[in-house]
Amino acid sequence: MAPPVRITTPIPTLEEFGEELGLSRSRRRTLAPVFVEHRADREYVVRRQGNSKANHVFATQKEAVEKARELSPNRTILIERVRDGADGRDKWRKA
Amino acid sequence: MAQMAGTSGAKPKPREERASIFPARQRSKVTKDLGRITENAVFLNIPYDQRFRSLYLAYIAGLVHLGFLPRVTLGLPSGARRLDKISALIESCRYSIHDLSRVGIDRNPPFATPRFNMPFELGLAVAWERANPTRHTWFVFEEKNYRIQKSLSDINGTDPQIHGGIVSGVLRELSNIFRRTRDQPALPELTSTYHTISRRLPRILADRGAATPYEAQVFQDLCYEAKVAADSLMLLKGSR
Repeated sequence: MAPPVRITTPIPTLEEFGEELGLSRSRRRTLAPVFVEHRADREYVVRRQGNSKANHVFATQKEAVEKARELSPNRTILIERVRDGADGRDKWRKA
Repeated sequence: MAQMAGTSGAKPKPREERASIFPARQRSKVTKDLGRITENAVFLNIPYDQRFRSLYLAYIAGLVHLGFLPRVTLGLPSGARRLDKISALIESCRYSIHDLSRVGIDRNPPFATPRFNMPFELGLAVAWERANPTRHTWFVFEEKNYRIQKSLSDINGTDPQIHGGIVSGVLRELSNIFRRTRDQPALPELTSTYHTISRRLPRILADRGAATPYEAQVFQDLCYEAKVAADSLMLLKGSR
């Protein structure tokens, strides 16, 4: 077995990776993951990665997850946890 | 043992001064868009056949999850220009992986012949690495132990990575040769990414109107899906 190579190059972001790959912008948007985020003002937003603004805003998490599933069928949807833990809010779970 | 180049830390020469296996006149056009060496790019030299499909997906999943950008010859034009493009592609990648599993006779029509593409491209990579030892590192993957000593005895002394023709073997060997200094993914994580892109493949083929995964656009989609899956796993891992 060959000795391992130590890799120090940083892991590219999804945007950088898509760019290097030469994938079209529209295709990247289609394949980008969908997040359900919680806002402090009791709103749940559905946002596709790469979009700075929310795609949809809902009053309940359930509605937001349903919309996310509609936007991105058969794919992993990442939901921001709403319970405050010791480490704060920025934690995720699968739908 | 695979050639371990690129660890000396010597300052690389400008591209014009570096040796190439092709004359500058031939390289000038083909290297226009591949003129730099991408540090995280891996040239993937594999057979494009139906039996290799799961291992093809494993290479993509493993490399992308480890933070690399796989590059293949899919979509390159045929003819003399193709050879220039292949050599330019190899020269643009910091690493290359050459899977020499298919050393038997390929019985597909019109002729039953061995397939020389993989060893030929390995030869191109070896020549490039010997001319530029700090700029390229190549690895050989094989399905069966000791077979390469017979099929390609010229590289005796080089230890191939033996994957046994199975997905977990490919992922294990990729983890063995590439060690991240931080956040080295575990084998179950690489396997999870593999399963994700395997599940998505039918949808990608339908979207692209493709019959096989060995098409340039399908390859791009698979890489991107693997990246999405790997990033999602990292996010969830950080949340536990």
